[in-house]
Amino acid sequence: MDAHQVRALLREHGVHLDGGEAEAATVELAQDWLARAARVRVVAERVIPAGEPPITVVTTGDR
Amino acid sequence: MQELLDLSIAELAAGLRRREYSVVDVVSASLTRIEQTTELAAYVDVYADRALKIAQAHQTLLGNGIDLGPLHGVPIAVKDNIDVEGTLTAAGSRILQGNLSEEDATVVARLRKRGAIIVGTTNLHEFAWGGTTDNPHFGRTRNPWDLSRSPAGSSGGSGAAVAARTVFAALGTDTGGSVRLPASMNGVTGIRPGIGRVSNAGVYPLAWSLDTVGPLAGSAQDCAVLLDAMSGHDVRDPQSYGHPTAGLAGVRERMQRGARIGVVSGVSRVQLQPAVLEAFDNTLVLLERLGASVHEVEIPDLEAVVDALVIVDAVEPSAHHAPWLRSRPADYGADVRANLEAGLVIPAVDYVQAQRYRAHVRRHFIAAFEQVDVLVTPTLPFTAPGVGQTSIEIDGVERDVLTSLMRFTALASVPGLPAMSLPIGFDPDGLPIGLQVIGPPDDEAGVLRVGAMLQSQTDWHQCRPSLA
Repeated sequence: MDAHQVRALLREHGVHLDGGEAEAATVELAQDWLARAARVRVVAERVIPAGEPPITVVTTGDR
Repeated sequence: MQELLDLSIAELAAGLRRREYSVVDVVSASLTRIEQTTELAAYVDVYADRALKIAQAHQTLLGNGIDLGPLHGVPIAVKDNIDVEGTLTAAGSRILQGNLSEEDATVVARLRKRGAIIVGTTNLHEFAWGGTTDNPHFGRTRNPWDLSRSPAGSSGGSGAAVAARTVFAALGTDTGGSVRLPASMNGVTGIRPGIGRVSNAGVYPLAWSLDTVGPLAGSAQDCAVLLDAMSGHDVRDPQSYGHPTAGLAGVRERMQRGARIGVVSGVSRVQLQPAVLEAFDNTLVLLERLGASVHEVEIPDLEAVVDALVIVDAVEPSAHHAPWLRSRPADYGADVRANLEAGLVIPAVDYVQAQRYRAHVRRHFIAAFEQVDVLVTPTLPFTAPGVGQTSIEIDGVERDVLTSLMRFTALASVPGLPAMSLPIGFDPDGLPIGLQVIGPPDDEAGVLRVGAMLQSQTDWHQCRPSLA
């Protein structure tokens, strides 16, 4: 996702973008995290069988 | 009386009961040391009068034969995102400034019940969402080993407070590594328990499905005393559970003959600063000399472990900060505001996949613990970077500090396992190096035993920074 698309996405989520260094940092970070999220999705789709559910309070709290 | 602060908790307790010194002497020494080390900006608040009054009362109790246990009269500090009744708990933020805690967090109540005396609250990265403890509202905490270096975070104040021996232990919180990272960079011992071992009630959340509370202290044995007092089911926290913790406080400096130590293949020994690799390898040799066997262990599908941690750690805080992000965005520090805003745009499907990945990886770890008792890695690939440093070169490649910080700590945070960091040496600049020991679910005792075994044969944990 390019910086323009990420700005639009941030605005859609109510983030007030007012230019400057702070905006650039947020956009760059969001781009990095979206790329990371995509990598997790690709790995998850490749290695996790469909029947395996997410981690939950039950799976962590109930040994 | 400053030398009192170099004792272990067990040694301190014995001296108190032999009346070699009083609880007031101990708390006074702690308060004096805090005053002498204000350059560290480790504390956000110190309760001197209150602590001295409680010390007097605890001395009277001891004099009357009423003994609250191994923490009776022991000064400790608490990270400022953990409620202490009658004090302000701001979680290092401007958003929560003036927030008066009406009751103790369960961990604080449990420690007090066993006689611990809270002397102050420690600085943290704002809302615990970062790894530097460079806090725009409460100051930049410094590393006691080199004031130009980072103490890590988010529990950087707790790490610095223990390293400078202002207290015998301090509480931290660990979501992606926030107990283990400052333990490593400040040369102290810290344990993140498995999720649910210790109640999170009264602790300001960062990411609900990852958050834990753990102690930082001078040794594995001291951590065990704290963890033993803190653990157990709590009706205020539905994630907590009440499995027995027998043996935590009984950790002995004994050999673990036959202990099976796992080195994560392709992970534990790669992309490290040379001094970190050397210290890690020396520790493996020492473990073998102590009778343990060291095994390479393959754990599949770890390629997304840091990414998955970042995604969960990004989304959950953004969910509960969303109202403040809309109404008071200017009250956040720049980096934490960027973290929280960026977290808003992660797709829900990717968050769920990250949580599925966590469950998947957890199964692989549990399978690995069929072959070994614990897994070991360095806690960090590098020693403390400079204050404000955002990238670091390893193996000729420039790497981002924030995500590099979590490379090894993610291995326990993602599957929700107990893990400890303990000091195993120093780099040529005199900066501490940490070992991470990861255990299977419910086996904090096993992790602590490996730490205690190493510390019975080494003195890294007894080295002190030469602060004025």
